[in-house]
Amino acid sequence: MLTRFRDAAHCVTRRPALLAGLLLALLLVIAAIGAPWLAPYPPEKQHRDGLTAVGAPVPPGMHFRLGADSRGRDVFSRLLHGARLSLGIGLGATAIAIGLGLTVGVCAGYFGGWTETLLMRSTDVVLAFPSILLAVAMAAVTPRRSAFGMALIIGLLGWAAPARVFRGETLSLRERSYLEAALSMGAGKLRILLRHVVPHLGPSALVMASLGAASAILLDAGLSFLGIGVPAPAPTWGSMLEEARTWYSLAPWLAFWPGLLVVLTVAAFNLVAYDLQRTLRGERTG
Amino acid sequence: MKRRTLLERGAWSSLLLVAGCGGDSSQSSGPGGSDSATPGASGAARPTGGGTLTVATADDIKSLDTAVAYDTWSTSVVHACTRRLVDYSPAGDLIPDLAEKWDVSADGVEYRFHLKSGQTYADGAQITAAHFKAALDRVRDPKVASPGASFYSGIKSITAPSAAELVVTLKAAEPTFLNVVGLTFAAPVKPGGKTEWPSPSGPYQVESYEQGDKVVLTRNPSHEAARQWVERIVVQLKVEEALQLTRFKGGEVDLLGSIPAAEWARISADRNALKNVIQDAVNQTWYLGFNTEKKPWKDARVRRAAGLAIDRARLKQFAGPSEPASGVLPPHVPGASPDRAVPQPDPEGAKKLLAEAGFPTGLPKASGGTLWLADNERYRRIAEAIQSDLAGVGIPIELRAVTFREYLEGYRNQADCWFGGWYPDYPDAGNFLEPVLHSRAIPPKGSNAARYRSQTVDSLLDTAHKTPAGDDRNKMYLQAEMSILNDAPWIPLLYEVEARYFREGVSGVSVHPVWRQILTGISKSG
Repeated sequence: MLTRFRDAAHCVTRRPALLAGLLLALLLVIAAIGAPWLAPYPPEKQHRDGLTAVGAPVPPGMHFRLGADSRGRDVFSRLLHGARLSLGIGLGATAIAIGLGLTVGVCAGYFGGWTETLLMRSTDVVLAFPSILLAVAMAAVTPRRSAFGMALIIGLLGWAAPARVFRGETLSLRERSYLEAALSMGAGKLRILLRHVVPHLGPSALVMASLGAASAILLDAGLSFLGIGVPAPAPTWGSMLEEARTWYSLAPWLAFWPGLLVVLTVAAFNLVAYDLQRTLRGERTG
Repeated sequence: MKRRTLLERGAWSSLLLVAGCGGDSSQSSGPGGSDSATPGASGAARPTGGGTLTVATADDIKSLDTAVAYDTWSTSVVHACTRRLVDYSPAGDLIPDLAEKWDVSADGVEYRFHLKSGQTYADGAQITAAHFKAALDRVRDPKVASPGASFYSGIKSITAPSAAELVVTLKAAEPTFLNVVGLTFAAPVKPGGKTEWPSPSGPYQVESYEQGDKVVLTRNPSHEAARQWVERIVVQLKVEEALQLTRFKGGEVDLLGSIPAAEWARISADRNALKNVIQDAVNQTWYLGFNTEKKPWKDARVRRAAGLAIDRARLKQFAGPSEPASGVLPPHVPGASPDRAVPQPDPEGAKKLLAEAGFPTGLPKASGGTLWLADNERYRRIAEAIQSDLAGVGIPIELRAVTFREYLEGYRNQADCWFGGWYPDYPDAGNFLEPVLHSRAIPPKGSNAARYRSQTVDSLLDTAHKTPAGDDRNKMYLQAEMSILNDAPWIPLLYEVEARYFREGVSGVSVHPVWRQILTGISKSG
């Protein structure tokens, strides 16, 4: 066990992109999970001394480490709690998208025929629409937008691309002789899919999930920026950026911090995905 | 009479609920502006007239037809292009304009207006009494569907015995009739002219109008006072707030009708910048309204508890130019009590009231319902401050920021509570209160979205409506206001201060107690 751990650690430390991505992601996850204990104030609390007499946010200082926002709330506390929402929505949406994509892709690839035609044409239809527009439409008709609701909306828009990848891989796996062997030994279709096809899609699923999480977080930030994310006063990074829009010249920190966190989060997941992709292609060095 | 609602008149930039009943006219023609609070705002050396003044607003103009124009900017443009029988002085008092004088019969039902001689439109055509009759007939014509029709529903007959004499007979005496004669609805309409644009009896005339883009006005050469003012006025429409500021700073725009919160915070500490701002209280109250037929707001104790939770001084921090409200009636309305102390926040008192109402630990989650507001940064900030104050005493509410159009329908028919603003068409307590707090104005008939029913208030408003202006009338309105404050269908929050921001070289910008975003009286040098 110790040897395996040591091998894994050795492997990771020799891959800087993976290491950087994992470290960043780990930090963000710690911030998200630990937000209630790490944040000095409740994220929605409006502090009277968070605004100047004329209503301007107070800059970073002893009281508000990263400054206050245009409602007099502590930016640091909101960023930490925002990590919970952004990561939660991003990862939740990715799980939904990968789950759906895997189901659709594997069924289409394995069963072929009209099943494949039906599923893949549906996939084409979803891919044909700009996802941001669909998301806006879906969010606009959702009366009460919760974090779960946003994850569902984003997840329902993100399954098509993974489905195509999984279908392609399943088509390739279907021709493998070990599947024929399993079939000849009387294995049922469900057993074959679950035991002999899906496990082989794990590495691709990991890459798709890493890329998908980055996209989902960006889309959530975009929707929140447009005012159709989780409603106020929830501290989403996108809504923080939107609120900062009119204050950028007077209080640049309002846009800087949430912007930086969105960039870092997306970078973290993309770095992991990049390394995994190279590994799958056999380009790994060292 | 009709009143306007929060954004109908004020539209986006000022989100107002306008109330409207009677009125007076205002014509702020005098350069230099009214009682500006900011030193030097419209001072400067008065240049000779000329040049182009460019103004930007986030609003659109709905119509330039004098019988239809009712929102803030439509009214502002129509006001600049017209004169009426009576007008409002810069202090908001009724003064003669195209009528030299008028006689009122002893029973108060007949008004005989004597017109000034030699008054013309921009093309030199004579303005006669028949043109005023045409205007009033048109506004009352159901086919025109004028939003101002109800102002004139008390008219029995109109005759023009001569070119210089207009006789209006009312069904019953109306103490505020002169006020409605001063509204832009009653501006003269030239026979045979097109009604899409106002007949140019005022200092400016419409040169072009592209809906959603801009309206261009040029000076009326026959208007003497206007010779000192700018030659052309361009009103850029539907310009987003941030873009307005960019254009203003880049020199493309000379005057902004409102100041974005961030810019306000920046210039408030800058004496030099403040020289280019003129600000003054206008007759508008921002309030938190409740549907008194829906739970939990059905219970007056819960509504009062919400009122005790609000910290108005903090709201002012969020709202920018404004003053904490001490009552429902804004300060310049006769009968208002501007000296009344502003209620202080009392969270413990609020919790006690909630406990009496059966909520000792506060209201259950989401049971406070949804607060509707029209969506812009200023209103969102204020609404979030309200949400925070209410949450502090155990009243959880959700916010629903929607487009102005949705808001207008939504707050009347769907909202549990809402953030609204209301201003009268002219400075009169009846014009302010009746459209929004009299039981006969409960939707669909009117704008009493709170569904507030009080026999005491109804009776006081009805009696005061028929009472001539003076102490007796004011006392009745004061009593009505006290009842309203006690019943708390509305929690008055702030009084609006109109702040206008102009570039160096622009002078004569004013804030008028009746006319919002007044465009007359402005000069520009350089």
